[in-house]
Amino acid sequence: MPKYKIFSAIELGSAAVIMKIAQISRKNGVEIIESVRYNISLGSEVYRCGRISEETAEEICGCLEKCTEIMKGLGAEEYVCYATTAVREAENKDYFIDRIKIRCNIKVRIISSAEESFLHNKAFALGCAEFDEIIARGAVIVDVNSGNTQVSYYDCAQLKFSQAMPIGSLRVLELLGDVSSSPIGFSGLLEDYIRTRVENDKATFFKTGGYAYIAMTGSQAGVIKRICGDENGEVTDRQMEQVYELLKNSHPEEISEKYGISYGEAELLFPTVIIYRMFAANQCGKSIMLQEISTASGMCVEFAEKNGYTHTRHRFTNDIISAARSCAARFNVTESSSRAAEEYAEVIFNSLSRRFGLTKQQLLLLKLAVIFADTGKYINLNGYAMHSCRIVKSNPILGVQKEYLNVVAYAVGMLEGEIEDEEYRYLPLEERVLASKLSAVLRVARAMDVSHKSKLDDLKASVKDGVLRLSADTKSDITVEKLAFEDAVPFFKEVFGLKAELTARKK
Amino acid sequence: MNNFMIPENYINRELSWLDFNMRVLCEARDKAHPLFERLKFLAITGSNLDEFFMVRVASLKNLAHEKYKKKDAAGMTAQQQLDAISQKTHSMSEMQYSTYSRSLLPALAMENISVINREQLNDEQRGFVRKLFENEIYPVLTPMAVDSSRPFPLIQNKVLNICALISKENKKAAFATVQVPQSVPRLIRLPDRNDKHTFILSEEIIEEFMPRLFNGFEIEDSAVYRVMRDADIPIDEDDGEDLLLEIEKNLKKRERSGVIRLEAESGISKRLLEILKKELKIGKEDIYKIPGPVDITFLNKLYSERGFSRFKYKPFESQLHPRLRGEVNIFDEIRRGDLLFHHPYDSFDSIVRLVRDSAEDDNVLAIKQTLYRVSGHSPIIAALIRAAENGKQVTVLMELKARFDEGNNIVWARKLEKAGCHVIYGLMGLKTHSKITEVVRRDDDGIRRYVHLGTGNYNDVTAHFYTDMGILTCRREIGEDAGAFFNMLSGFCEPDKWKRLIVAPIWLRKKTEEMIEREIKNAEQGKEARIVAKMNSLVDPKITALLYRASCAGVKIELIIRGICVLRAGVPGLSENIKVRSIVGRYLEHTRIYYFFNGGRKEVYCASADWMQRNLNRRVEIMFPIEDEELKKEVIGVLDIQLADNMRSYIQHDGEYKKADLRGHKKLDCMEYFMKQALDAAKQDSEKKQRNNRFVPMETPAE
Repeated sequence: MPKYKIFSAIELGSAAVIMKIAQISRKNGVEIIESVRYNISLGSEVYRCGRISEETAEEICGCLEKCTEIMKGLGAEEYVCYATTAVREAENKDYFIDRIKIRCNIKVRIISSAEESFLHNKAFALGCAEFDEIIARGAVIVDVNSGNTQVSYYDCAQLKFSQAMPIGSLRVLELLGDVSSSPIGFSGLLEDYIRTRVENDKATFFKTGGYAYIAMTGSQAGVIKRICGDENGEVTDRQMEQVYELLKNSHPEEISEKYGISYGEAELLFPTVIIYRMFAANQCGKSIMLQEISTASGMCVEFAEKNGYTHTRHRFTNDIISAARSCAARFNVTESSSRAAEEYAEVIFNSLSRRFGLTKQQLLLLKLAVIFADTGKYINLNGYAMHSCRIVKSNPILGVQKEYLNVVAYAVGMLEGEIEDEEYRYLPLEERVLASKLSAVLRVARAMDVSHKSKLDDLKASVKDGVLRLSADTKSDITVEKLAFEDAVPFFKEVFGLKAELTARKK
Repeated sequence: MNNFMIPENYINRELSWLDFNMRVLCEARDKAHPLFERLKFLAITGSNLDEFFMVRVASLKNLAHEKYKKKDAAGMTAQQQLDAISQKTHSMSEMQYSTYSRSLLPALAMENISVINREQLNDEQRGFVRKLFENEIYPVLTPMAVDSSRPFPLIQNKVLNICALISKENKKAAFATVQVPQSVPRLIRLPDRNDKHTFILSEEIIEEFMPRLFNGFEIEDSAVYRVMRDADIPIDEDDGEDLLLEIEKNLKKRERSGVIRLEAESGISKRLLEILKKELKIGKEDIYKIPGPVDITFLNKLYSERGFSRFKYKPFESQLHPRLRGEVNIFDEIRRGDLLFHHPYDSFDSIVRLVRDSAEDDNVLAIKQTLYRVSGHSPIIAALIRAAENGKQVTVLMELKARFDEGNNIVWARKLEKAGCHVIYGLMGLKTHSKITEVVRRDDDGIRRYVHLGTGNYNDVTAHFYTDMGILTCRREIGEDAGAFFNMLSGFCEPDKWKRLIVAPIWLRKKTEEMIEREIKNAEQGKEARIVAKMNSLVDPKITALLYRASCAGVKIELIIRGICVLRAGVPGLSENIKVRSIVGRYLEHTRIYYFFNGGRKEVYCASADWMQRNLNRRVEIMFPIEDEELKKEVIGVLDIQLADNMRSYIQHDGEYKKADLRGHKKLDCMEYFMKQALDAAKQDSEKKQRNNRFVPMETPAE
């Protein structure tokens, strides 16, 4: 492993193009050695008109060309460029991304809000030296961005839940921007709208108390910190109230001049603070950590993890599983009900991985499939598999790309037979094949725990002479499991070309 | 603060500048200087005045023309300033020429050196000049007569001309003019004997043979003259699609702008003068009758003549920085610790070396630099081109709007672009005046930024006669700020927080005011409070008022201001704690150093900026801290020596300057001191090396 690597993360955000160049090493982890920001109202345009204008596209191309110059100047060996909410929602995003590829030779990937939030949590970890400690003691992170707000709750060093709300500072301004007058004034209107959108939703998943820390993050957090006059980044709810009052009674132009920020940034402060306030209230004097973060910082952490340069003790991949469990729990699927199937699925997967070129990433998808498999029963026991499929597709899981989410969805969708979904037919071949493989393993694993009594212990799997041989110890009668197993084997054989045999040793 | 911002508390900046030029003129009159150095000082007063007229006076004339009534900080309108300037410059002009004719010419004559006019030519010399005229001068002359069919020609800016009244056969005399060609040397050495050195000016030769230009005409009268035009033409950055082209257009416009000054030989006839006055559309107050050679900058040519080194300063060779002598790797040295340079005592070669070595170093990824005024054959530009050819990422901010260097800078910008460098022309509406170089290098343990920050331009020529300071450092925070600075110049947002560098127009003013306020607070609390600031000019009224307030609070303030100073020092109840001195001498003082006592936690900064509105509000400038404790002491030591100087200093009291009082004091010439210090250090270093390298043979062993 080289002593250090230089990596460039470029974020095409709703309000700015941000690039962070990091020096990543075992010794020092992730060190940001360059940070540039180019303000551009991409989000304003898209939220208002639905498209990216020609002028904005040109301006962004010009900015990205300068970014490549900076990258060369710092010897950046690799780069990743992600586009977030504004580009994702633009009708002409495909041509826009293509133009960037041709003009600037930069490949842009559009990420989902779930992926964006996942990266923000990583970015928060980068900027918070005590991250491992605070998530062990319980922490809520409220991340307000231009397009969305993500709330994540950690306890005992695990992510307990993460929920996205489609309400962000810039989106709200654009939505209400055309409302010329309101009896309660624009500030009042803004507050009313946000409260309406947030308060009810919040009640479904957010409980005040039960955690030691609350952190407010997002692109405006830095300025709010300055307004509070606290460079350390910890404020009280009282200070947050004072900031709220100040912003409510000041014109953005005054704030812009007083704090040396652009008018655009000043405009975003009030809606951001309104959202923060909804979560910061009743904190009983508890400190609120304010940290300005960007997707780009999270991308640097992600790159470091992928390349074996670890930054924190916390494994963010576990957050994905936690987030999935938390989502499944809303459909009455508990961790204990799927634990045995998860174990069996992992054993089977590992025995096949080398022969069939299966990766760790795909194991993660398999685990997600196990977790979501029974969620559809909450809707209807009949045809539950397709219900599960739809549940997965409509619940972006923290950190999971849309393409992978589709694979998980169709893996569970195939549990009851062939899929007749129109969208499935248009999935790329590789994704359909992967979904089939995961589904085949899933069926076998679930069959082995059809009674949900974890009857099989110490499962071992090996492939020899064209047969997947599974053996386990058991104290119970596994007739029902064997019957279910026989039902699952034909599909397994069709997909993998292997027979499957289950042998139980009586304990 | 508003209490202090009343007109009586301020000196008009233009008049203050003229006082500075007067100090330079005093140096020309000072017999303590070697003779040829006095000539140079006198020439400098001439070129200084030329620029002053073309820019400052022109600007005031435009304001007066527009009937602009707003008064400056000293309570003067544009017209009032023009009237005062006219009075002062007329008497300055008289003093220049009396210095020339009554002091310098006789002194030269005593050394068998003379500058003669055409009446003083002997036969041999006359024959020589005739031949010269026929062979070299006549072919390039273009005389122009003015009549009904030939309008008055465009007279070029700053170029010498000879006007004449020519007549033929009882016809009315016509006006004619001929430009003194710039291709012909102004100063011509004549043959002479007995170790005499005799010179004549080219216009004298042309006047001698004027009839050759107008065959058949009688020359009724002739006189040498020169015009100065308005050079202060604004550049339209908004409408101009290409700034380069816009500036080129602007340079051409200068040649056609209005005349603001006419200099003519004092013997010019009334008639000729009237014609010139009418055709050039100038007033009486703008006419300067010169009792000597028009355009006194010819003395620079005399200075450059070979064979007169005994009349000049003993040459001083700038010394290499002690840590950069020998075969050392510059990057290794910078990593060992910051390096401080005090030019011209420390050689500027080290700075050129940074760029040169970066061009050749395999580990260097990128070089970024701001350029304001560069020399004609700049080794820095050559190194940047080489770096680009070697595959380094080279970014140069070339400030095209550096007045009178626009043409040069355009040439350099094109050359750099052709070589593959990325050239930026700065920010709209702001002149980039900072002096910074950033080298990004891939070291074993990570990417590192090596930064040079200075108070002076990257000009290896002026670095020999301007004093300046700079540092080489690889401190992380400074490197990150340097990176952010260049990104900002490329169009990205400024960083959320600057770690070390203080940048104008973002927060330099605010920081400066804060530091002065901090001293005020300390003084009010009875603590020791002190400010020592060295700069080229103090013009900003707000900062000046703050200094007055600081003085009244008890802060001890010492200002070393070479040029313009609008502050009145030593006035009871206003500035009794403020001392102002101007150092004028062999070198042009150009360093900017700002020292704040800060309750004992001393802070020392160097900067590219003076305390002028243009620096603090309208230019991109950098003030940088000297963080290394030893280097901080060194810089404070430099200030102490300059404050103790009594040979080169003019002390200001309530706007009046007087040479420092030597009575009862040991003489101290700060420039001589620093030169000696540099030479002594180099000598010690060399002796140490010789001792280290000496091989001592063993003695024959005893039997």
